[in-house]
Amino acid sequence: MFVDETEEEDDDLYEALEVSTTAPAARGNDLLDALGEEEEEEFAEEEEAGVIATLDMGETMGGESEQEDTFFPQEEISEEEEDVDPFEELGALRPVSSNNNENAAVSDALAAFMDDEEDDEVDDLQEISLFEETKVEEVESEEEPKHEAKAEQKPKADPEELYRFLLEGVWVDDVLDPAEVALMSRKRRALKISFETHLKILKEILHD
Amino acid sequence: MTILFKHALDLAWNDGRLSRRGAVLLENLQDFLDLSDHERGVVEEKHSDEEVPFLITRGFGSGADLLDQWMATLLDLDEDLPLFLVSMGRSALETGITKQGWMDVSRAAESMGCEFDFARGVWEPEYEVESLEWPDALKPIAMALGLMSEEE
Repeated sequence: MFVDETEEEDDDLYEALEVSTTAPAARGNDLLDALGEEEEEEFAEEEEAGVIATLDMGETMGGESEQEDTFFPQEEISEEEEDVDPFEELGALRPVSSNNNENAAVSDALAAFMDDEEDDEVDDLQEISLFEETKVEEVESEEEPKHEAKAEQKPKADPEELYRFLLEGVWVDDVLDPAEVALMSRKRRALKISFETHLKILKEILHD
Repeated sequence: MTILFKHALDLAWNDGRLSRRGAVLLENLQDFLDLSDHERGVVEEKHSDEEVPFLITRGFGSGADLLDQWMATLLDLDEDLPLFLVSMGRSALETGITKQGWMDVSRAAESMGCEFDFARGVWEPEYEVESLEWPDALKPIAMALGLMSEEE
């Protein structure tokens, strides 16, 4: 008695929720049958479309343009194929080439700065050229003696100090070999250092 | 210089004892090499610490005879000594001369009045040097230059 009441309540629930009470297996078969019918219909439609397409091909072979037979209108396709101008899309002006300086200055502030710098450089060059080339030559000629004077002012490396430096380097690995000796001999001749001076420097190095 | 005095000490203590005669010969050698007391003290102290304790006593200072003979041979070299030192310097350069080797032998050559000759053998490659077989008296020089080992 108690069980019957629950069954009645379940039926009410299915109805209330609008859920079908048929078994899932039976419902699957129904769905498969329905799908089979749809496939058959689609196959029939495809066959018809194939026949129509072959007929259309025959017409195009007759001289008509292929573009006329396309589904979409010709105008739409041509617009899509063209490059989209981002400046137009954004409603801004195109950057003007460097030949038109006024428009460039208005449209692109950075370009304006760039142009100013370029103009300044050009102006400087023009000013230099206007003030004659001799002025540049004069400046160069004034600088040359300065460099010479600086070179004269620079103290020349003392040959003994230079030789001492080389001699110290010879002993870095703690072993003297014939190649190093030959090098030092050449340096003595080049720096006009006597053998006695060499021995004196050598003693100083080793006893330090 | 010290390498020569070190060799003299080894000879004087050869049988494990130093005789009075041996000590006198060492004094003479110090004068000959123009060695200061400090320099001699450094060499003798090191010898006393590192060599003497391990000597086996075999006699009563007969090493003096060996020292006397060595000193006499060294003095006999006289005019030939510079030639030997030049030759040894060149041979050492060909095998590679160490800084310490150069300093030790240069100082020894200086004490015997041949510093310049030895230096020419090492530092003047254009200077023609005759290859000579050095005498036993110059053994300590050859050892310092690495031309021979102690075993030889």
